Amino acid sequence: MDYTLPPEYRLLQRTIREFVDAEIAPIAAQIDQDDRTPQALIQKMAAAGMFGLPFSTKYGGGGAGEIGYCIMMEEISRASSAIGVILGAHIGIGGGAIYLDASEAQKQQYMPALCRGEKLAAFCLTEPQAGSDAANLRTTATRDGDYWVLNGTKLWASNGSRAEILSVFAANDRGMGARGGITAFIVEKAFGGITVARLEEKMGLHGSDTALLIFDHCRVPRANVIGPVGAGFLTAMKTLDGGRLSLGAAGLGGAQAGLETMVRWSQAAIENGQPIAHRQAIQWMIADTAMEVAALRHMVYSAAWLFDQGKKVSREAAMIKAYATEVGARTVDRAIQVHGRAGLRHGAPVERHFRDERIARIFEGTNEVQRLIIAQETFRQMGYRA
Amino acid sequence: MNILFVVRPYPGWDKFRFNLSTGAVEVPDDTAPGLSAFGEGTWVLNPSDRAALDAALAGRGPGAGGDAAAPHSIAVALAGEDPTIAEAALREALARGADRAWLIGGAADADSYFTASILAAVVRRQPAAEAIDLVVLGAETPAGGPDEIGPMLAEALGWAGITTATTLAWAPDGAGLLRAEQRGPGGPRTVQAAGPAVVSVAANPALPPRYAHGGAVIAAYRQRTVETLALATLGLAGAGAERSAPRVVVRRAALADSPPNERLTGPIDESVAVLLPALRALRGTE
Repeated sequence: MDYTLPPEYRLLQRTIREFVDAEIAPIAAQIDQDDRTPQALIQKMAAAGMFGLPFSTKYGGGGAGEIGYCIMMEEISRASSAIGVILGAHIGIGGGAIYLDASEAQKQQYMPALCRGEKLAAFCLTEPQAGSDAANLRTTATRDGDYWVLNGTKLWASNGSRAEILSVFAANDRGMGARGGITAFIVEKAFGGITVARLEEKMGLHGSDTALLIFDHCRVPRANVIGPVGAGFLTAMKTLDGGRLSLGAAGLGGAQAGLETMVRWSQAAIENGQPIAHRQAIQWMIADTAMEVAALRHMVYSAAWLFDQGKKVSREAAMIKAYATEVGARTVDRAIQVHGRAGLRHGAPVERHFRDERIARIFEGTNEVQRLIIAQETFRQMGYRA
Repeated sequence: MNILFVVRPYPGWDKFRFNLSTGAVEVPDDTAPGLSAFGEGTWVLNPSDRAALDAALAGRGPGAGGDAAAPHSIAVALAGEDPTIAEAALREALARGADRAWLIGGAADADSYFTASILAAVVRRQPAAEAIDLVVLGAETPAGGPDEIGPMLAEALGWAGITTATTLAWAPDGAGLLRAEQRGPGGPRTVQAAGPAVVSVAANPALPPRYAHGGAVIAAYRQRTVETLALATLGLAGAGAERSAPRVVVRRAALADSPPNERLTGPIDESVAVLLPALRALRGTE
């Protein structure tokens, strides 16, 4: 077994790191302070092929697959979790729903512009009463001739204000719920009837816009239904499954960055005449972090490899999402502890990472939900029913 | 217009050393294997050669006939004992915009002079329709020293040679006229060459950075081909004994056309115009 990354992925890792170090890291603090990602940066990322990296070259994507996507998410998130979320929402879920389940004609129509980064995508599932209870949708889809008319409210849509293409899930039959009652749609903002009612002011991830969208008689052509009518919940769950792997990679990037800052700080900070790195308590925090990051790295890339081989990775994706986000939480907490009072200063990278990290245990399925998935998949694999 | 980029591999490890006895690059034993977080364990394009590639691709303009077609670029590298090392540099050149990649085999011990001879043979073998118009390489070797191959190659081909250029562009007012900004002891200056040229390029921080497209990186390994050329196809087979013999000859001679003890004090251009014919005449008396 060869665990070495193939040469194309090592070159990809280096070239993306070069971009991140030159274009993202220097302005990450400013993005956080302004709560705004410059459009110029989005354009540079598009020119570097980032928005289509894992998608097939048939649609103008980079053909890098899940391993390449994870590498990119790790490298980006080392510098800025907010930029990682912009990419993840576009590729993993907004564009992911189209890539996974749309028809060939729909992919030919929408994927090229998404791959070039000309248009961003967003994923619209969550509603005020439908978070973990994702099937309890109240946004309705009503058939009107050759159109479906959408009415309702979607919350917490990452990229919701920037995106021009939305993957929207709505109830075509509220009585049927997840089995036959939810349909997935490709919705262009240009169709009209969509209002960005509010941008959330969040604790972290400043620079990644999170929108409340109101759909008011939004007319969507029949041709924009993804898959069969009523099969949308399955599309949503499959999409979130795929998105969790890259979320784990993003968590890995943040944890790796946390480990590196802990090491550098501990070597530079002098207490009682010597670097605090000489203290056992500090070394243990670094050792615990290093162990967890190493384990997480192998989890992420082995699961990404399985995904690229066409294997089902639901249990692995759930494990990675839960583990990565909890490793991230422990890492940022230890990083603050190692930095001491300096880590609490507004504008310090560890302070930003601390605020950015918290959402990770909540979005794309809370870690509690992930544990349900893991348990059910574990029972099933061992031949039991949950 | 066809551009030949000379690319050389550079060790991509954060820590490494050159073995001065063998010339080999040695990587520390504790380099993390497998899934490294630091992108170690790769050979990359010599940063100076990469700057040359970026400068040439950034400045490429109309072809020699004034048409709007972008020049065709070919990256070339000499394979050492392990050809995968040079191949890695070529793959990166493909990822960063080169159209083709050639790997010259059988040149493991080539020094600067023999390398220049090989490259001259590469240029000369091209059919007229695919003639190379410009050779570009970095002004610094992977070991950090000044490039010697560029001037030797220019001399071997009888082409104009421009060293330490920081920008390249095709002059808009002259078909095929190459204009370069050159870094010199007196400050930057602009030079131009009407015919084919060999240009060594120094890194220019003022140029906007160029980044490899992610899809191009993947394609460089999975879809693009590195073509291999043997020394025999360049007419250099059997040159092994020749290239292992020392080619540095020390001579003492006077410049025949200069009066004894004359000091040339005029502008550099005039001094060069006096010295060059004398040096060429001297070489003709070997």
